Amino acid sequence: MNRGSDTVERFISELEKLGATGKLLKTYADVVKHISGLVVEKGAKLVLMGDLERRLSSELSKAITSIGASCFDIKDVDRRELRKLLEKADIGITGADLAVAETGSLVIASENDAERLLSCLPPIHIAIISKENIIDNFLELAEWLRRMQNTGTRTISIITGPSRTADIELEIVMGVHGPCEQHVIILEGDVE
Amino acid sequence: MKGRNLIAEVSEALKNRNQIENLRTSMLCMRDKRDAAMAGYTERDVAELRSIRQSSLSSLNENIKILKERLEKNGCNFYFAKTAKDACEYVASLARSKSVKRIVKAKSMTTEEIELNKWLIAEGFEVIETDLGEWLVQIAGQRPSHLTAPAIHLSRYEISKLIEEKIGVKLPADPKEVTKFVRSFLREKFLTADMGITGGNILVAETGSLVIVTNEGNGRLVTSLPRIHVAIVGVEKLVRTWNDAVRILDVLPKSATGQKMATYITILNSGSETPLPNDGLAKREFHLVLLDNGRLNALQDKVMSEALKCIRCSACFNVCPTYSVLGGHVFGYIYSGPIGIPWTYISHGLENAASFASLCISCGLCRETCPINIDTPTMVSEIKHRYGARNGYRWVDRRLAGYEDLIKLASIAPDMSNFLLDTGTMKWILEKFIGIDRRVSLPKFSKKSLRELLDVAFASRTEGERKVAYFADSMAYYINTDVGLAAVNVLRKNGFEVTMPPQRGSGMPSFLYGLLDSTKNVAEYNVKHLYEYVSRGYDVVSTEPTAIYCFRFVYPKLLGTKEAQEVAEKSYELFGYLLRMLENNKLDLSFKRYKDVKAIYHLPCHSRHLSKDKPVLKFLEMLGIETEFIDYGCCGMGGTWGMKRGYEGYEISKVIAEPLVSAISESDVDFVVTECSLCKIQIERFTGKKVIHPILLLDKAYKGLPVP
Repeated sequence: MNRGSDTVERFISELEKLGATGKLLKTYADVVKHISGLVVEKGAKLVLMGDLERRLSSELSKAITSIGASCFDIKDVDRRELRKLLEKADIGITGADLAVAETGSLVIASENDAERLLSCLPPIHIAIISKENIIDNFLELAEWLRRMQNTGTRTISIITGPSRTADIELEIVMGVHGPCEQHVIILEGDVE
Repeated sequence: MKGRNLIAEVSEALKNRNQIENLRTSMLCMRDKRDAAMAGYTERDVAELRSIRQSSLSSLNENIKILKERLEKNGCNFYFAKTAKDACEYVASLARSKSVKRIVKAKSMTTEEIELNKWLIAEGFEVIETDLGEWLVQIAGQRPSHLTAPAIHLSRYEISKLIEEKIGVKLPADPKEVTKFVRSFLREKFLTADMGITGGNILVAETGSLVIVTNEGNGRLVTSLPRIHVAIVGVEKLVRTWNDAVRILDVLPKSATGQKMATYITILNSGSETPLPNDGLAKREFHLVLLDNGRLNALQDKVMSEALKCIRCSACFNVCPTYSVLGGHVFGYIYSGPIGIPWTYISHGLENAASFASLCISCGLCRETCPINIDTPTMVSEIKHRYGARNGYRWVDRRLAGYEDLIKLASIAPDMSNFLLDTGTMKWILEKFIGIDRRVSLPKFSKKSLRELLDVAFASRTEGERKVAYFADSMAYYINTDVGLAAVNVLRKNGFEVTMPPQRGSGMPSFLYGLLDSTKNVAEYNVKHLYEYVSRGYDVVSTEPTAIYCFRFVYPKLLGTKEAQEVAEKSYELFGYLLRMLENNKLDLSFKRYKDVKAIYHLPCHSRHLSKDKPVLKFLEMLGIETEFIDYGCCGMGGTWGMKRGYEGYEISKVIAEPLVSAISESDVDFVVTECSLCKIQIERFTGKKVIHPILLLDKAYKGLPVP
């Protein structure tokens, strides 16, 4: 898939309407810098990552640790500690398999529920998606969903903005049971 | 009806002014958001979604087989529950055998339907609802009053008081503060629960997948933290393919809450590995309970199977005039709202459905707003019919169903009827013996019927190339004869040969009260005579939108004949018909344009189904009348329903009309324009403003006369 800049623009604009943020970045270095900035700004103490490219996760880990917060890839964590850390994390960072420009949605297939909980439990969710994996319309998802559910039994989450409710007098409030904030990073071109 | 005193419930609900105001504002807001989100949704989209639902249901047994195979192949547990009891017992025995103590639930109307919480709590389990609205309703000891907004009947003040009373925490009456508190209060419950229970929005047979749609994220936590997940899903949620599923997922949030997409869609086809507290990863047990509870029977029911197509978006709640003032506790059993009437029939039986079906006034807005065009009015009418056939119809319903015959009878001696109907004694008799509220002032009968008046006009027969069979309906036939005359004049002015076939009233009053045998009789009579003309190339045109609504949507279903279908296809409400002529440059434009005339236009519910583009507004503009279009939905008259005595009709009807009435009363317009003769009665009686049928304006304009 080769997506033009209008697709990316549309995606970012939908994210903003939802109360999320979207940022188009060129290199891993930009990503590390951007996320470190968010960690400082939010005063996060514990950051957990999952399903990221190995080199990116190790660079992120190094940078975030250097600014005084703890940061782990859940693959490296002792499994008996996993649940406790997930409960405590301030920020969860995940990849995303696809995004839908039309609706501002992220599509994430999770290997297991520890990975899924990264975008459920922490109050802030940061997702990183490659620009070429943004599709235009929601209806295009059918084929991909069929394939994914046929070839594995992984859980798929389609996430559109931060957690929200309108259950009290229809007033919209963010951050009920899921993240209160969502930041999406779109990676463009050559990460080097 | 299982000890229900609906009149008492209604009179109580109408005292709760705060709730009425909140609910009304909320419903209008949800309606407008939904309409904005669905603006690009075409008739073709409706037809496509309808056919997806239809084909899913017609291959249901096969789909169940595929789903079961797929799930079992993935190592999941599949259980088919024939009844509510079977489903509850399955869950309870599973929970017992797995030493479950705490159960967290995501919002599910299907578990409400089977009263699962009651069952589990009686067995000693702790059951916690986690959707904010559901949780509020649970601690209040109530049931959800709306499909997607369960606590919509509670104000922020009531909610903060409730939490103080039940949880012992004092919070400001602020949705943000309440949400923040509930987040941390329920987080601990999620983390310590042994079992999670959800419903499901869709099941996809081809991959054995469960699809759960939520906004708050509780659905994700319920399915990712506890070691056991049970999903209880009605069989009608099953579709064959992902192509079908994404079509539903695309429409559902738009039509439900006006969101382009729901915040969270969770898709799973097995239990995945979850990190346990102080332990490693363990595979979660996943159980799918596929629920019948009346659905498979309903599938064989020619009328009620229509309800199974529903995707439970709740759009019909937002436009329902009686629901919007009474709320889902009165307008409901366990299922509430318009579509809740047939659902109650399917899963809780005829008696319970009939216990609130009388609140449906057959405005048809539910059908019009439905993304699948589900014919709820016909199902509701059928429920009233089945109940009446079994237990007898109510006296007042029988009398009002025969309203058209009463008009015909009274019109034999119009002067005497007009005199009598104005007397206090007669009003007392009408209330006592017929059920018409004494506060209703009945319209005056014309001294001559339209037929008699037209016999004179038709003496100068004009031959036209294009031919119209005019259908007057009772009101233009006996009462507002000026409307009938104006319609004939305007059509003739445009070169039509106009005739008036033998006809009876449209039958809407009997349809409204479920006396479908009478409706059928009338339908047969009207179709027989109209078809005679239709088969000779005539179009059927009426000034009464309800009549055309009946021809198009009621008669073909009741009669199921080719003649009824052909009449339906050739039937037009007058202004839709004139607009088509205008668009084909065939309309005579030599009419007067008015100056300094102001009006409000009220759109009758049945017109909404007939012409999407509000043709009357176009004509008012051409006539130079400065028109304000106000849209509060139904005026609340519901044909004769708003005449029904006291809390059976009149009182509710009056409250429904309030926003419309105050908007009209506060404006400085010269008159109100609407096509429906019963909206006219409603608006005139509560505003004192003159209400005019638009054809009277056009007729005067052709004649160069001032507005009436």
